[in-house]
Amino acid sequence: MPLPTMLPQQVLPFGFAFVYAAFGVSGFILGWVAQRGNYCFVNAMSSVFTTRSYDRFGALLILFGASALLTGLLVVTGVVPAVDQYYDNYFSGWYVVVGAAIFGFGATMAGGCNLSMLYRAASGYVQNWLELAGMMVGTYVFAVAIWPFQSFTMANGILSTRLGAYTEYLPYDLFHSVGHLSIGVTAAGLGFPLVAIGLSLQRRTRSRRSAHAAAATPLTGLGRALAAPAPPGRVGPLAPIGLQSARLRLVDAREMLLLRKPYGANLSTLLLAGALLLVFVAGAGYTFNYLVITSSDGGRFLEYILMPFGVNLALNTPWYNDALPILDPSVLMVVMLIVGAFSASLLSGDFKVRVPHQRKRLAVGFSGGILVGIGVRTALGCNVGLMWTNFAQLGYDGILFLFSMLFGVWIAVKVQRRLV
Amino acid sequence: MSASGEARRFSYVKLIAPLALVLFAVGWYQFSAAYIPSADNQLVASDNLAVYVPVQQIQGYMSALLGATYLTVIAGILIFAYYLVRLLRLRSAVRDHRTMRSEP
Amino acid sequence: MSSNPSRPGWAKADVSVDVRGESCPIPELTTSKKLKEMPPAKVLEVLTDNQTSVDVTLPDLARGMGYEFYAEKGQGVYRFFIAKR
Repeated sequence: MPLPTMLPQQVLPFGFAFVYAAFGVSGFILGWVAQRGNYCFVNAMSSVFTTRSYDRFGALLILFGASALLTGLLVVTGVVPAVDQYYDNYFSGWYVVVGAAIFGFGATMAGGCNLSMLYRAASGYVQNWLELAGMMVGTYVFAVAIWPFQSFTMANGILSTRLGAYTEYLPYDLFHSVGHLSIGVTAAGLGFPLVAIGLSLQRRTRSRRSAHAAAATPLTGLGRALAAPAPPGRVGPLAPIGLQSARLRLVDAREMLLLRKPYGANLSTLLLAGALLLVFVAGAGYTFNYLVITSSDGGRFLEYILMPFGVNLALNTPWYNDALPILDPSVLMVVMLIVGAFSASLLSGDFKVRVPHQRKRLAVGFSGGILVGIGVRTALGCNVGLMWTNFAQLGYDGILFLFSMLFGVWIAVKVQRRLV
Repeated sequence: MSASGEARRFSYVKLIAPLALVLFAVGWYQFSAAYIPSADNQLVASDNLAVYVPVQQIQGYMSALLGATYLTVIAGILIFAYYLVRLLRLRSAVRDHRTMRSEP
Repeated sequence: MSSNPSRPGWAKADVSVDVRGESCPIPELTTSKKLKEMPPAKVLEVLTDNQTSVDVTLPDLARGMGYEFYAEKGQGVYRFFIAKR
């Protein structure tokens, strides 16, 4: 049986200017929506351990499942060739598990994953500025201290696969085929259960909220507080879905358009999935056609900062000189992410330079950022560039990353409980 | 809230931030034009093609970045103008109110 | 700060905690710790400028513990009141 092709094909023949523009638009959407929706992968996971809420974690699973379904659909219908889905599939190995745990721990300590770090930094959170600086340092530490050993294990298959691409592609792993049927079955088998589990977790959390509301005594008014629309001057969460009337939903939609109310988790999920699809189609055949943040903000930006001083890390520093192209569309994506988040924050009145009350949080933020840099580079990507992307790639590294990151977050929550 | 209260509480960050955004956009474009192509050329000169990027990609990036810079600058100026007009209207309302109160 | 006319009568702070400038999970961990240390029938006031805390995590925390809550926005700060039973 012939091996699957390794020749990526372009879907849209408009050249690199169009590809970079598409990534820029996608980045702007990412930043804007993440800021308006307060979309944080770390918050979604830590809430499971801190407030026993699965609402946002459920939204994450819906995002992953929807991404798998939608990219699978585009491939099965022939819009995007299968090779453009699996060509850049990651290697898998010990580093994904170890790196994801370090990342989960560091991001929880520092106060944000790669996406939320950037949108919070753009909203004025000083702790996240320090996290970003720490991330650049951590990336450099990884490059000189860890990458030589890691690349050796990858090249020699030591607790690591050696090819990536279709060997990490679930349709090929399960059915030894990259035909439309195998891809469709795999996408459905991966996507639908994730969406179903996500919705079920959300429903469970919301019904528990309604049960608390129903259990409240009339004198405390807890049920009234939850069921009634917010009076002027009172902010708070939307009423439970079952109690919302169509009129309230229209009011909420208007408030969201006027930037007075944040976006809900599921609306944000839908918009973010759209941003992923945009680059999946536009970048096919040209570049890594998925969302990548950390190669630029943690890697290239340090490289760029040093350039005016006559230092070019790409000349002789490990990792910078063999694994990180000097430029790719994620550069413009991340720049526009910052612009989008900043604009949303400013126009909604949320922008403010925020310094933590406890100054030690700044040191924790910087140290956490170093761990974030080391973790994401070891894992070959972050929560966006590896975990979320890999579900869209119909790979299995995303699943490894998810559980490992959850473990790291759990440990960090225990440590944070002792520090507060 | 009264006009004078709103005028007193108006945050000048709303005026400075859009200008900072404009400066960032222009600065990023200037940096990209000045350093990225030359860094890429250094890789060719030192025979390191592993992370070298073909010139068509650099040109595509600069074209897209130029468009993004124009849009960001225009948006920044519009936001600045909007908040400036709002501040001037608040101050004008406060002045009119004081004038009315001082008239017999 | 003058009290908001829509604030319920019980929302008067007996204990106050300031988590301005912090993002998740610090506001909810700090609030949870303070609630455990507080005597019952007291009201905790949380000062925060993080919207996610006010919209999502603090309400989830309060509901999980079965406590009534109320939130209002002032000048650049949210005040989140939780009544411990």
